[in-house]
Amino acid sequence: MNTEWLKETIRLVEKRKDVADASLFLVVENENLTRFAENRITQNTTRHRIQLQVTAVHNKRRGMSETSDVSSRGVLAALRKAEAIVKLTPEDPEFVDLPGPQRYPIVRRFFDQTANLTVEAKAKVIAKLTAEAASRKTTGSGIFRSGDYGLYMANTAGLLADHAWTEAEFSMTAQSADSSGSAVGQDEDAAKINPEAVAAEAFRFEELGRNPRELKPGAYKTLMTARSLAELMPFVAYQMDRRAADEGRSFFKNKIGKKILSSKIDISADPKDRLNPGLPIDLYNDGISRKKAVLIEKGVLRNLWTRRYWAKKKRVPMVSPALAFSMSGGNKSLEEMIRKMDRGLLVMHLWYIRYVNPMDLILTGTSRDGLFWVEDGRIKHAVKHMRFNESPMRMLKNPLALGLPERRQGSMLLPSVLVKDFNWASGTTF
Amino acid sequence: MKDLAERAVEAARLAGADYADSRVLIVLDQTVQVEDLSPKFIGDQHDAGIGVRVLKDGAWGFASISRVDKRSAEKAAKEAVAVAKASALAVGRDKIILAPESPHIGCFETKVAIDPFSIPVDEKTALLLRINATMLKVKGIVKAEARTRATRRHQFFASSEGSSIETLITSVNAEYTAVAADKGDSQTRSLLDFPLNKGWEHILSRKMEDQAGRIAEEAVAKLSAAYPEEGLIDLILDPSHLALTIHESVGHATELDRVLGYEANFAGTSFVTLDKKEQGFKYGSDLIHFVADNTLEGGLATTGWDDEGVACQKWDIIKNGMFKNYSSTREVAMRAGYNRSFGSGRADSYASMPINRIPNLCLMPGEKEISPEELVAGVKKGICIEGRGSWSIDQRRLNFQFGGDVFYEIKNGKKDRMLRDVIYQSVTPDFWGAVDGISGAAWWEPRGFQNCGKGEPMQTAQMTNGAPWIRVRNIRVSRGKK
Repeated sequence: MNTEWLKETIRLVEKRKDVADASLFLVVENENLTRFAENRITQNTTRHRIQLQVTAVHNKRRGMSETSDVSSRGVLAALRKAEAIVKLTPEDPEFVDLPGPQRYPIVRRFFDQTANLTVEAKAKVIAKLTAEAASRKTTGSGIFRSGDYGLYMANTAGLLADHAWTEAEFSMTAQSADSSGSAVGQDEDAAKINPEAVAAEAFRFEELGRNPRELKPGAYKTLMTARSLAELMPFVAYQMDRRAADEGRSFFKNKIGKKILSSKIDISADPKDRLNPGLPIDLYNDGISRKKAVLIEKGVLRNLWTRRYWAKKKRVPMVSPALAFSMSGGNKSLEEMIRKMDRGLLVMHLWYIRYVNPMDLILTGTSRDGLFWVEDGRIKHAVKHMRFNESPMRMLKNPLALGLPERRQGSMLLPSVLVKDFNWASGTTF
Repeated sequence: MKDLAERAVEAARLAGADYADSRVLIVLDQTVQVEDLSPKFIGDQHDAGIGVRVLKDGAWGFASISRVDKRSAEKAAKEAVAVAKASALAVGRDKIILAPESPHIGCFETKVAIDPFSIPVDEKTALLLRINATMLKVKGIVKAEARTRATRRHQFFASSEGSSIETLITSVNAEYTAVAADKGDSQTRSLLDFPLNKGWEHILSRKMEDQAGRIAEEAVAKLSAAYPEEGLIDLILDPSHLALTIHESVGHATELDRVLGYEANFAGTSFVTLDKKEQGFKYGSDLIHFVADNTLEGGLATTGWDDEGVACQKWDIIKNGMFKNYSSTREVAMRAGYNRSFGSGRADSYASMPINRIPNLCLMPGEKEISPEELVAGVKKGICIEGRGSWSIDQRRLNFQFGGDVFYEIKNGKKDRMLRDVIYQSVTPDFWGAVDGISGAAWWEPRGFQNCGKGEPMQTAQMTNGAPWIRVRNIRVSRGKK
């Protein structure tokens, strides 16, 4: 599938449609994920997937039909089904027209070396690193994933969009009787991932995590790695919906223009961000071009993501959802942040995070693969894992220090953060 | 379709596979989603493809393609064998051996009284719009959301051991939520999802429209409800709440692949280690009896055979409070001393390899016909929790924290005023060990889940977690608000 296919297919739809307008949204995935556990490959999955969504638009109504058959016959069958649905659909009081032609920022996220990574090459890396795990008397588990992906959108109002990218990810967990350490590397460019370095980090923290001691739950000064912060922040980003705020059902109600975080913190979303490039197409708003959005500026809330309908109704600018974003920080590495710490906890990774109270943005979850007691700039000993009930907004209002931002999950650029009284609510048994 | 599944197996054999199975799957999914009075999504999804799994030299290979034709079947088969050869580079000494399973030839179809795809989308949309309109009429409601979904999975399974199985599985679900807001505060209340492998008759039986006003009024009432007193108190938990506690603290904990470390990098491991099966382990009080039943009528994991061609079964997980058995796939079963898999290997699409999933796992009702009111009568100071709220559990399935959807204070054996923002924390064996009352079969409900996440690449699975009402003593309760 490519842009030519898209142009040809939207021409076919234009010619054969029985409704005012129609749009196409095609997703293509070619991926291999090699999975290992117990120091051997346990699963190896290769996928070639295609899914096309055809939307029929008529008299302020929309009807959708998806298919994996992208032959001309398949596309027309999906169009007929979408048309049948739209005829049974009531008028949408929140209807917005399909957007017309767009100019998209040019973002390079496709790397041949990632698309060409073979299953054999990945298996050899895994064989070497699991042998090392075994020699250290640990069990290694993880994944080595690579693939190429594509999004193609077109409509009868003239919009035409395509974006192809690659992704590679290597993650590893090293386990022993009473400890585990884990690390992950992820990027569009496989050349930027160093599996040996990822494994070395997992081995190091597994070793440091042995013989964990119990610590009484309570409020402790806590250094959170960029990885941990990246696990919390999507729960904040998801709440940054202007409509929810305007309707009084969000933490962000009446907060635009107000200082809600430390003045050291800026958060923005820009597909052209050199260190954190993102998707140039806004999938939440019918494929319009994504522009840079400043969400937090020197701690002040400047924008919330706003869909087309709500922007039109409230006469405010449309802002694309910012589930990929970049946050400012300092210039210290994690090691330097630890060296500057007097006493407190270091948390490497968080697990099973959920809202406790969305209005206060209080989240719960537990530490995983490394919780350590730090004293006088050194890791003194491992601590048994604990559950937290804490708000990232409170954490980021008065952080004691911010580290050097790192790219995490292929979509967020975030620092490590040292906070004063992080609420560890209860302990677990390991 | 049957021919294609068999052709893929044959192509894999010719390419050198020692074992091969294939699944040709055609999925039809219809979703209607309404926000306030706006139809947000009305559409059909048709997804079809082939997935081929092979063993070569004791290593797995899997390939899939979203096309259903002879050439694609052969292409996927050859690629699966090539992938298995790569896997063999890092398979170690423990080559994969499958627990034996006799070949099966057969068909299984969900019993459906009213085909959910025969209900026109305008009828479904009108129902949801009426529900939302009712909720929005209640003063204080700022948002109403409603959704219904029907799915039909038509699958052909073939294996090099001679199995040839056709399944046609239909499921339905519906839910809605009212959001109340006032003075900088907001609360939600839902008529929770209640998915089953049934037809539209299940949706009709729920009388969803009749309850919309009450649900909305309860959302508003939560805004002015009192906070709970913190400390150790007794809880009464209803089936719509308890299903998730069961799912997280028993269902996942007893998946054998987790116990062996297959999910150590992602979904986590388990405290129910193999020694607990050998030496015996007290998981809960004597009243606790958990049965896995993939033959349960209407159960979401009731599919005739699993995606490895193993017949669906019924077995004990915990009996008289003692741990008895895990759930398993063919690959892991023999590692715990079983000579046959329990048939819990399921994949979320043709593009995924089957993995060890939670079966239909049910807490059995008490032997006596005790009512929820009788359970409440035995509580001097406590809280009754209904529905789902916040939920989280550690990666070994021990320390957990749950909220709920609606809470009532219990005083001197009677349900009293509404409470808000209640959360409770416990550790799995302590919690199940503190259960001293279970309601009778009349109050048992087959609740379940359609989006259980596990595996890399992430897969979502469906299973029923049936539950009665229970009474549990001295659980730590706190406020989910500061």
